[in-house]
Amino acid sequence: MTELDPEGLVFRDDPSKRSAFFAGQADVGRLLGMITALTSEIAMLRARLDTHERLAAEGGFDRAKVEAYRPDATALAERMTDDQAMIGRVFKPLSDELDRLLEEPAVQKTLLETHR
Amino acid sequence: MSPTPHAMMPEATHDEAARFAHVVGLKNFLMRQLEPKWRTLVDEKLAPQLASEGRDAKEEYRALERSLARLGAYRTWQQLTVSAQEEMWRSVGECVDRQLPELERRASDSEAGGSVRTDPQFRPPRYLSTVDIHLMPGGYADDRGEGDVRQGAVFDKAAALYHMGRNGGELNDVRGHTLVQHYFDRFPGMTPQRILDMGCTVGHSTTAIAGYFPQAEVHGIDVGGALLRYARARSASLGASIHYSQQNAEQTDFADGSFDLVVSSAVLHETSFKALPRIMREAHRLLRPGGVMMHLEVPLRFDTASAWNRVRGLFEALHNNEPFWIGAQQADIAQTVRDAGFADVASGYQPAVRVADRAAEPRFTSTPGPVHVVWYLLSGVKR
Ligand SMILES: C[S@@+](CC[C@H](N)C(=O)[O-])C[C@H]1O[C@@H](n2cnc3c(N)ncnc32)[C@H](O)[C@@H]1O
Repeated sequence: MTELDPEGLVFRDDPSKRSAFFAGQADVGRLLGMITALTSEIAMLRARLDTHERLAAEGGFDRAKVEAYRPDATALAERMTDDQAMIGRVFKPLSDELDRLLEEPAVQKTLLETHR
Repeated sequence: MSPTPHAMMPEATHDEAARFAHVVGLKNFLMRQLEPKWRTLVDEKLAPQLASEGRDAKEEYRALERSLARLGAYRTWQQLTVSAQEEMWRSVGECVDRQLPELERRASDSEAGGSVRTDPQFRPPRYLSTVDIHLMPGGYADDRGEGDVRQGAVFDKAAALYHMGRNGGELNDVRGHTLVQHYFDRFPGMTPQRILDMGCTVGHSTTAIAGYFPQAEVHGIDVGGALLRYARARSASLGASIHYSQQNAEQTDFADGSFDLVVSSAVLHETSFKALPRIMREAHRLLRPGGVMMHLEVPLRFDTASAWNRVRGLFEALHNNEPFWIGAQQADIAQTVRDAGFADVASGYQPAVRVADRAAEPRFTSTPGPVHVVWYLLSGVKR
């Protein structure tokens, strides 16, 4: 259902259910959810490793020092750049596919044909 | 632990902070790296091809959305956008749950200041109860009973991430300052004594507004007890005494003429066609003659939205659970304000400010701008 109701509202066919983008293949949706969570864990581990390295350069670390460490603005900016690059690598197949769609008139033509 | 902007903000451990930074990065990637490619495909490749056949992609956005959804890449982008949002709530929820007893203790021990009035009989309206807006588990109304502040803490922590620093960092108060700047721009000589903020959530804007009028009695209403308990403790720790109550903005229990200023901030787009005129009439009833009403909204209009923006808007509505997202952009809200009896109605764009200044040159304008750079402002006076 994509029409607004008389109150101007629009809901999924069954609003009590989560969005399902892969009809009949719910596992694909779940898998992407798991990849998202896994990527978050990798990011956290990379940040932890970065903390260790920075503390090591300052003379050493123990668990308390690691837990208490907060990156300053420069370190945070470096981490964000690093994280964007990691995300870019993990999701590269998707981004490549988008580039292909943009470059291939044939795909666009098929898209518009199904649209008719 | 990182320094927190006020006593109620949940603290993040080393690893939680790293997960938060990442989820912001992931949302950025989806929004700034991938989304522009869909925009190019739809607005620059498909729309012109349709136009060459005499068709309007903007009009056909629903059909376009269905065609895009045949592409695995599009469905993957949709799923990842939803998963990133879910990941944000999951990671914030985990952080809040770890320290919930401490937050509840802080809320009940926190310095006096303001009050909270909840109503066990309260039922939120359909537009808020059918789905969890923004996918926030439990929605705005979630409340586990006396002393619970969980939903407020979750919302506050997530809002700082969600806006990615564009709404005033951890205090999230740019909208409040911008509302006050609008008031100063239009009514430089006025000082309200009683102020009502409709749909205050955790008081981000309410607290900012209260700061400009230290003599005023300030009220905030919203639909969730846990939001409001958190809001009271949060504003108290920021030095503001605000009275929060659990009420529907369409029909409150305040007396006629009891306010000089009634505002809302980013609320109307989460209501409905039916609620809009009711909220305007209620604000009119609550104001004394000469009182001012102001609403701040997202500066988006459906008629000027490109085909991609419409497809994206539909996604926002259906899958980020913003059921009125498109309706609000189509509604003639200014007309509902005039119909409710307001005079001197003005609508336009107010540049976002971090601090309002009564003496500043007015900058309220009819020129639109991007979200977070300007806000749509609608105001009127009760005669
Ligand atoms: C996006 S939040 C607003 C945030 C806040 N005003 C600010 O500026 O930061 C929208 C809020 O409006 C509230 N709301 C929507 N309709 C309402 C109604 N009829 N009565 C009371 N609150 C309402 C929701 O519960 C939610 O907390």
